[in-house]
Amino acid sequence: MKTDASRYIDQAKKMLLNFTQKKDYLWLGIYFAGMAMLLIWDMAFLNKPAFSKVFTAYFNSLFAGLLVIIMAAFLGWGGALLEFYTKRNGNVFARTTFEFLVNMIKSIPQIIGILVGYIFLAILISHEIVTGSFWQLVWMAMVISVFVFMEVKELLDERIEYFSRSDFFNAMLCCGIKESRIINYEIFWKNSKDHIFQKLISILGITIFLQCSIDFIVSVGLTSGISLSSFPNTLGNVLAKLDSKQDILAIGNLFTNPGYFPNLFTKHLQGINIAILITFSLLCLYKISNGYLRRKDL
Amino acid sequence: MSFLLYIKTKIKLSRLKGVLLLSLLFVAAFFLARGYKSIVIERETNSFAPYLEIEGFNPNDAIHRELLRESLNVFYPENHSENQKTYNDLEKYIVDKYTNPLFKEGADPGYLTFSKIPGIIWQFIPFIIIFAIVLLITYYGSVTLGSVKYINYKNRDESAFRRLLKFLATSMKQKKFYRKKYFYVGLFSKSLVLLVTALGYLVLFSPAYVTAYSIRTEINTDTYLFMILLGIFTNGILINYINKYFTFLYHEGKKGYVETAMVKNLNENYNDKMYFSFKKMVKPFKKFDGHVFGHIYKNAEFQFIPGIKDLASFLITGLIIIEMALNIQGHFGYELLKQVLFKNYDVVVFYIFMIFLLVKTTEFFVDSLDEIIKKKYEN
Repeated sequence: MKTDASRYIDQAKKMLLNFTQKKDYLWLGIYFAGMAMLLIWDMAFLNKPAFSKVFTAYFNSLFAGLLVIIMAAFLGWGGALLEFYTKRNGNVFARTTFEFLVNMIKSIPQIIGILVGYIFLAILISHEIVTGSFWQLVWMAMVISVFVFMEVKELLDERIEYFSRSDFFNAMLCCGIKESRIINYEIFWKNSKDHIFQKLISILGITIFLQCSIDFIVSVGLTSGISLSSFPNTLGNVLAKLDSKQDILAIGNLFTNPGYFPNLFTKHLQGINIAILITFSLLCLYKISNGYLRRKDL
Repeated sequence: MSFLLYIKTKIKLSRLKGVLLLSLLFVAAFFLARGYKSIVIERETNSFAPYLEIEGFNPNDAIHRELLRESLNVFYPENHSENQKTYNDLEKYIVDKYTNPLFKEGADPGYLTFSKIPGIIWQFIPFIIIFAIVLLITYYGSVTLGSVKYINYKNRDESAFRRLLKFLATSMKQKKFYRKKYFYVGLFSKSLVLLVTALGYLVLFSPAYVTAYSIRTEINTDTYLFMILLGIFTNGILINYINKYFTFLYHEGKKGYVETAMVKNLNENYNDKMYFSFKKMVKPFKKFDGHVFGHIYKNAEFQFIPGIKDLASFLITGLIIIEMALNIQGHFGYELLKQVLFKNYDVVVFYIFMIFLLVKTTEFFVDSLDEIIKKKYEN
């Protein structure tokens, strides 16, 4: 006979096993655990001004990232529908214009497009058209979403094409179901939710990478030019600050003095923190997206 | 020869039309940018230009400038803010005259001129060479390591973390395991493997500038070799494309023809060293004739090739980030950033146009390669 305690232990073991087998959940757990550990460590060793700077930068970056995935989802959805209907209705002008725009966005590497977007944003800020951290973050997210939404659009195009090739689409049309309902509800909502969700997770990773990179670049290279230093704190521009850069440079000391290692986590915490936040977030998002892909067998 | 012939016939009107249309857009953007710059310069100097002609007025003298401001306020008291702006513009002009390199005698006017174009092309050539090397190595790395990952998956190889956990679990079942030497040797070796794997992952996912800055005090990171290494191993590109290739293999391995081949007794042993030796795996053109993996590999590679277009775009992004973030002077990416800094937007448009041409050329070659392979299998 099993006692209550051993039954609870068995149940807990089962739950733990279940949790570790679902790699996306496991990595989500690892991410939160890592963040919690970092938070406790920072509270103990990082000075208050630096702590608030890192904290604001992380949440600003995360906020912008979430805005990007919302905007990219809507732009991708709109783009996929536009492509479908312009092809179907045979409107040559509309189709050519749309193809031209898509071609233009795809022909320019993301970082260049975002850099151009940032130049416009800087001009808008200098003319006081965009003011306040919130709106600046919204604009930054808009600029990035224009250059990442293609991934969502292409996925939705593929899904429409996949179902159009089967009897699924024509059979529903014969049943009198409206085309828009077949696409939006039957294909996108009922049969592609998981695909879209997985794509949005990976877009969040791409966004964090691109945002950090562009903020780092403009902060390092353009501080005297367009005064982009007035941009809200993000992981990229806090990393570009001199004290953070010196913290990262201190890692190089380990080649000649490995005993210096513990000092990195007490004396050079600001820069190391940002580097860990960026890299660890990217690693975990990759693992979560991958785990979700495998679990749902997409 | 057939490839060259194909390239000639492949230049279809529709493709050219797209490129030409976009090129026209670049030309329009170029003239727009040049016009914008003239307007900005004109607007900055317009407000005080008439006062420079006043006899005896010396704009370099601070007292004269202050007198001008006061006079403006006396004559136009209703335009106080405008008078202040005129004074500020004049102050800025005087400061720029002595500090801004663009105001030096015989300095670069900032506009794109014919004499500047060869210089930009010379910056672009090393960029193209680095891009081509990084692209080839990343492609090779993705295919090779993606295959290794798939073979390990088939052999049910465990991760370094699980191996360490398993080792600890089995060791702890024995009595007084902590007194045995093999426990510490095993613990050390397995922990070391785990540490190296974790470090490897961190490097693969870290942005290039984080990796570069962390070793900059010991190693010169401004060399071409280092740029190639950063381009390949950082920014998360290689790991993502290894995974992409693995996904193709994974889905291909589940298809019906694979099961049919196995039923027909084709070799399906993924532990067979005859097929999966180190020497065979590192070959650039891999062949696994007689093994079911050979067919999976070929089909996955066939699907992977069109993806090189996206890979190329990501790599260009990565390389530009490296050059801009590390401020590597004289390199294409850094010089582009410098033009943005000086607000020479017409020159910026020209730089972007060069990148656009590189993207389109890569797309053209990848499409041609894809088409050739398709034709090979169709016949």
